[in-house]
Amino acid sequence: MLRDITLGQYYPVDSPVHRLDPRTKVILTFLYIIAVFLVGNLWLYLPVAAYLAFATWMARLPAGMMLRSLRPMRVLLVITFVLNLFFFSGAQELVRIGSIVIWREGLLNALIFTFRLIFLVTGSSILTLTTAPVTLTDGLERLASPLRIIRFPAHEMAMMMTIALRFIPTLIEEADKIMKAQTARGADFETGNLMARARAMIPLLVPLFISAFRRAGDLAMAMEARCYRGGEGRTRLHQLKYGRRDALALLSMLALYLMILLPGWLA
Amino acid sequence: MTQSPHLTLSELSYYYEPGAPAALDRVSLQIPRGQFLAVLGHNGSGKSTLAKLLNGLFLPTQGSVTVSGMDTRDDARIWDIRRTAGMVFQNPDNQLVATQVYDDVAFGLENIGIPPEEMPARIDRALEMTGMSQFKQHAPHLLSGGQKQRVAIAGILAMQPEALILDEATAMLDPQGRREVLDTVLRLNREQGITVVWITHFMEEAARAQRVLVMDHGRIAMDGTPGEIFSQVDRLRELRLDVPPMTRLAHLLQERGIPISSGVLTVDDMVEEVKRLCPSCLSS
Amino acid sequence: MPIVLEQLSHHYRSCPRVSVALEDISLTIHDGELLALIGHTGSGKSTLAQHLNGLLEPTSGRVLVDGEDINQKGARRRALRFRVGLVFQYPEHQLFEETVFKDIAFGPKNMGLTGQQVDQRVREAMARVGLDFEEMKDRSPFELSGGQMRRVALAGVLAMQPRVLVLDEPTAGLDPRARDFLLGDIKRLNQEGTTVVMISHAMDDVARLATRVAVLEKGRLVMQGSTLEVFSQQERLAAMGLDIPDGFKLARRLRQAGLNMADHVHPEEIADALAAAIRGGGGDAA
Repeated sequence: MLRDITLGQYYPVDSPVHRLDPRTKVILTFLYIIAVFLVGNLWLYLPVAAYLAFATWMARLPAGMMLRSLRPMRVLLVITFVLNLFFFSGAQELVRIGSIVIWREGLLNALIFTFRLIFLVTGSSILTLTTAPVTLTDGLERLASPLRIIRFPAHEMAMMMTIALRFIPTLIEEADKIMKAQTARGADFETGNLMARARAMIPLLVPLFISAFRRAGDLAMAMEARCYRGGEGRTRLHQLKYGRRDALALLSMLALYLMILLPGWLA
Repeated sequence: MTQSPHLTLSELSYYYEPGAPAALDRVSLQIPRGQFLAVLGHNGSGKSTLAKLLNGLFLPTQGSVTVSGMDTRDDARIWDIRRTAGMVFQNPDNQLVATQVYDDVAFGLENIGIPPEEMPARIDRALEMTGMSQFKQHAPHLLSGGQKQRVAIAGILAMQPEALILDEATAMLDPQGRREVLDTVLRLNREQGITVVWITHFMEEAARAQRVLVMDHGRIAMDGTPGEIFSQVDRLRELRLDVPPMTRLAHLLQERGIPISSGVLTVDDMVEEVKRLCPSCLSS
Repeated sequence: MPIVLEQLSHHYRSCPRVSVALEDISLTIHDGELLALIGHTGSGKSTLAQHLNGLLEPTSGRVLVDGEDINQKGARRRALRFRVGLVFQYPEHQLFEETVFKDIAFGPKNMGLTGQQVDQRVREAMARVGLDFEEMKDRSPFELSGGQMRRVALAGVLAMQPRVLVLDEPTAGLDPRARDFLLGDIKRLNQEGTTVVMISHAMDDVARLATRVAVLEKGRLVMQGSTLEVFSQQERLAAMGLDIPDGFKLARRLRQAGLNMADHVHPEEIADALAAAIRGGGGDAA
């Protein structure tokens, strides 16, 4: 059912990572993603894994929760592994089954790509697990605000995200109610082929859209009445300040980069 | 209560589009500072349009609206007007912006550029005045309708307005929510001297105002104290409006030849009238 | 077609906000009556209503419609929905078709009726809620007034010709004129033989229409009886924070002040009793 959707995956505990400035966390995540892409050797995943374990521990996140973030990805992971394993040719033959050959390079490549995906997903989920959606929006807005020079609507994007976060639960509740009301009129959302089911959604989707537009109109007027006129001249309740903690976090990232890049430079 | 006009409409007309019938037709009205004015009228009578003209959400087609002496057509003053005359709308779900009560009350303050260090004191006070302090961490969608409306009122109070305009703010609430919101606004009117324009369908709410205005076809059909208005039961029926149940009862008693006064609005009034008419009926 | 609830309990599984728990409710809805269901927001009224046509299943206990357990295996729940019509709060928010006709026809079409039968059903349903067929059938439901939209939504349920009509806050948000119209429609439908279950916060509406009242509090059925019986128990209702119609409040105040005045439901009766009391100098009023 619709109501089972939980919004975001924020894990509300207090930890040094939770208390980091959201901008720092966005930058860290960005740098981490680049770091993961720089790794071209299985051994170099060791520092990445260590870093991830350290961050998880600092953030007081249960390890099980990190692994769970991979579940929606499991099909993609298997496909990545299998494709690389079978369709990558190399010089050193490992196994031959009939006409299918598995090369050593294929196996290494499959492992590198699969790990890359695993580290990307689990690492970036730390950002969403430790940052409330609204705080994240704040951080993104302020990070993007220099882009206003090139007319990037940073404030407007952030306002849209906030409003979406505010209204998604309301609309889910509404969808549930309309669905029940139409069921009471004999609508059938559960049987029939794909086409029949798609058609059956019309009595749900039309009222839902109309309601969303009505709400949007109401909200626009209410915002105007409350003196909203875009980002110009606006002050903010929540002030973001970089602290010592943020500097330390960035230093830890520097350490990760050194561990990944030094072996290459030394060799 | 000073009697200087606070909100003034002069010869105000409003058309949604050229050629359409007038939503408001040459309405003139003065609302003194500190007054609690209730506006009645069936849907389409122009009462909602009136509300939106009072803080410059709509601009007059003809005539003018002034708020504390500022003309709503004056572009330079429009934001001052909106913070002076705050507005609460009908649907409690569709006017809260933030995902947390505290942040929502801050929204207006952010818009008018209040320095961040001044905000917490203003927000706390606004939440206190509406009795919502213990909910400041709540997400709006987890509040009752009456609570959401009180958050909306707090969001306006934080901007330190002089007038509150409530456009059917209780229409979608249950009786408890309606009581909460009306009691809150009555208290703000009494204690803070805030001018109130209370637009409603509920006669018993209008009965608690100082002055009642009845709109019909874009014009003011009746204007007086609740007692004056509700004693005209037949006239109200013509305008397709109700009267409070006790007023209806007084009317029925008059039809039965009982010389009861026409100004009965509440159960208390009725008990007093019975005492007056029949002292021997009641032992106390 | 009586509906019998036998020791019905409902416990929500996932989301406590969507449905409220119900505990051990036994209630019979008799043929032809107009039962009002009252109680606070969150007392379980809407949850109970959704059990009457199988939209929600009880955790324990049974719902018998015409003697048949609607939640047993093999029960034809879809057919049941055509016999017990449920009108949700703000039903105009579920309209979706381009024309009034098509929207009202949605239910009858789902029943598998022929085009001619559907046409007939729509005409009848519109007549019953006072909508002119020729004038309204081709109009978009979205350009109507709030009161008209609600009547279209009501017609959409009536077109299935349910024998029991369940209405959740039918007058919420309407202006006095539209409210009067709608209450008139409901009263007429009931007089013509449709059983009505009406959830309402508006106690004066309840006093005006209901033959029987059931009171829910925190998911339990705490009172049921005739309108007069229930509203006469003012202390209990007040303890639950529920309102009572002004007429009952007045009678109680006058009794406390020493006037012998009985409770009455309808304004005319109250006026008669009070007029008699005043004329008689308080001697013998009834």
